[in-house]
Amino acid sequence: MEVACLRQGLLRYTWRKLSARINFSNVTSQPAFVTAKQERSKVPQHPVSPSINEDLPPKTEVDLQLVQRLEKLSLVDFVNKEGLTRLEAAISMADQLCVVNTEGVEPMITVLEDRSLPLAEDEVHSGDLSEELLACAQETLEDYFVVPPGNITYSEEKGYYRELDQGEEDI
Amino acid sequence: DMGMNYLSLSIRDVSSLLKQKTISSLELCNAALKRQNAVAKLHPFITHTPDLARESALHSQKRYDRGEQNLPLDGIPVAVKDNFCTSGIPTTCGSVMLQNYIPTYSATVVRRLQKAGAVIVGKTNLDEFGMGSGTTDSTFGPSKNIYRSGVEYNFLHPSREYDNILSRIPSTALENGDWYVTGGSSGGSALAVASGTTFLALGSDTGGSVRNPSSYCGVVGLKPSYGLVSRFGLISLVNSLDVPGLFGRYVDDVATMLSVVSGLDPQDSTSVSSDLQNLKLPENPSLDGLIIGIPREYHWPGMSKEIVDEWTKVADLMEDSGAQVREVSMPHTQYSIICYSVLNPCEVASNFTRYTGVGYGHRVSASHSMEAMYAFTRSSGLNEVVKGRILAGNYFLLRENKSKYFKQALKVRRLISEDFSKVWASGVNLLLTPVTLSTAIRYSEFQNLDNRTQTATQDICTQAANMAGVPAVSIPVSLNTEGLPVSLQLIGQWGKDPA
Repeated sequence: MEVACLRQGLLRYTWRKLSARINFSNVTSQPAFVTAKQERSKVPQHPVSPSINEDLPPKTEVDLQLVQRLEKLSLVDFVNKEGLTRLEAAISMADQLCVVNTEGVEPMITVLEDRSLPLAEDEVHSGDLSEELLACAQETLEDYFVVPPGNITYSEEKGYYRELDQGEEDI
Repeated sequence: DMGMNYLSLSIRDVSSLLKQKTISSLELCNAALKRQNAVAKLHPFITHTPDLARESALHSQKRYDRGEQNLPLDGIPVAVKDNFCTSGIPTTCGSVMLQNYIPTYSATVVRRLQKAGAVIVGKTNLDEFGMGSGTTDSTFGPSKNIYRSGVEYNFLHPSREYDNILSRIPSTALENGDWYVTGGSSGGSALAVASGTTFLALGSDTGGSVRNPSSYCGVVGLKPSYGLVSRFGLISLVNSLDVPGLFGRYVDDVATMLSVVSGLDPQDSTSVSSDLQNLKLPENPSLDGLIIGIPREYHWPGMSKEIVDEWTKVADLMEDSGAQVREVSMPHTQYSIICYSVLNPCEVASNFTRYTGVGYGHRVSASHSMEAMYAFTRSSGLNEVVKGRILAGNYFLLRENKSKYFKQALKVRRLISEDFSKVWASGVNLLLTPVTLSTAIRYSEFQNLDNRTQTATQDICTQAANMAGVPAVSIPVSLNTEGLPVSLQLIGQWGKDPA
């Protein structure tokens, strides 16, 4: 039975990597075990605390109407109460953005905004792939993907709806 | 078994051996496959591709036999994260939704690796759809960090004077069956490289998903400049932030990989042209004249002392070696993770409308209504983390919320990006920062936090580089007293990846 025995030249790799970056003729200390020169180092030795935002908007309550609206838009469900708590936590975190002063700042949609990106010509290059693509689907008929009728809305009662409706519970 | 030792070499060294016929491509491939079996319990791979690997290796061998030696990665085993499409090979994104999906095409980066002679040995594990920072949220089970996992390994150093120190570094398994997480979401890829099953691996980085696991697993992890590497075939998470990432044990190996995969791709309209195809790092790099910035805000409350110590040591080392090191300020850093918490779900809500069960993937029948069919399919195919992001995204995009959240996040994004621009304008060439707040976390602690909290804490030092689209690399620098890797991050100007 073969023992899972690895020879990891880890420190050797570490040094090869560092030496790819640093000319070693200048280095006299044993870098992995040298003591830090805290007094004159440029690295801050104490944590820099992020500024605290005082005027946050009030906490958003997730009510039944919102839950049903989001589930309809997303066509996924919250699953359980944790899902609702998760959303509330996400909104709370996002609220911290609202206090940042962005007056006069344009939204940045892409980091490549400063250049003209190439657009492809409207030409078919890949040929007829219908057979391969249809093979990926579970329900097909001849050259068609099959779906049930599209004009019937779907809604389903969930356990957490009742809890929200009652207004109580520590959601 | 000599084959196993070759797996620890750099690509340059093993390529020489392949060219000299000291070892054949097939032997190297078999050694890699054997190593896969040895570390199988750590679960780096979702799908193993031994037959395809051997076929590629045979082709490689024939090329070497004919004396053709011009492909940069000929015969080199590589791994691919399971959110890159690979023709004929299941591509699952770690999700039930794509469990049965077999793409009809390969991602551009995969094709470029194959054209360079690389031998793909498998698809690696990830947090479902790339959402997570531990590789613990995959449908197919978690990946475990090789350090202190119970798999035996030794530390080597070319100089014998370190033997005494090396023997004192712990490498035994943790008590009670606990283990360290690999980090995520590209944990499987980081693990594949760290455990020697491959020389290189592809990952994807949207908020730190390549640098985070690199830091925990002790390998080099590069997130290139946005646009440098084609995203065609990378299953989208956040189109404006996603970047294919590269893993390797040696910086030179990662540079070679970058030269292979980078470059304009007409099939990705967000890819730009570059001239890195012949990238060769200098043999004797020097730091003279280099200005290194230390952004003070990256010393977060709660950062472990050993990380701060290593950061300090390396900064001082760089200063002693000829670089100018100065403290800088990037005041919007603290908003980066919050900005991400809005932009990510918004783009996800949009991107994930494609998962309906109609054209591919998981499908749950509902004969009466298309809407019902979509809802059943999506609810059963996607995990709670994914669903949570879709719902949050749709909340932020509601007409009454869009300006307050989505637009505001886009504006804050610009402020974060301008923090970088100002630093570069002041003369700084590179920023040196930590990658994560601590070394790898024990699973017993990690599982107590929900996914959202985990990513909010673990992505704190990595996220801003994605916002600004600038290149960033995680480099292991040391091992701590627990025997875990400690890494630091270098961030550069957009397009200046070779730096």
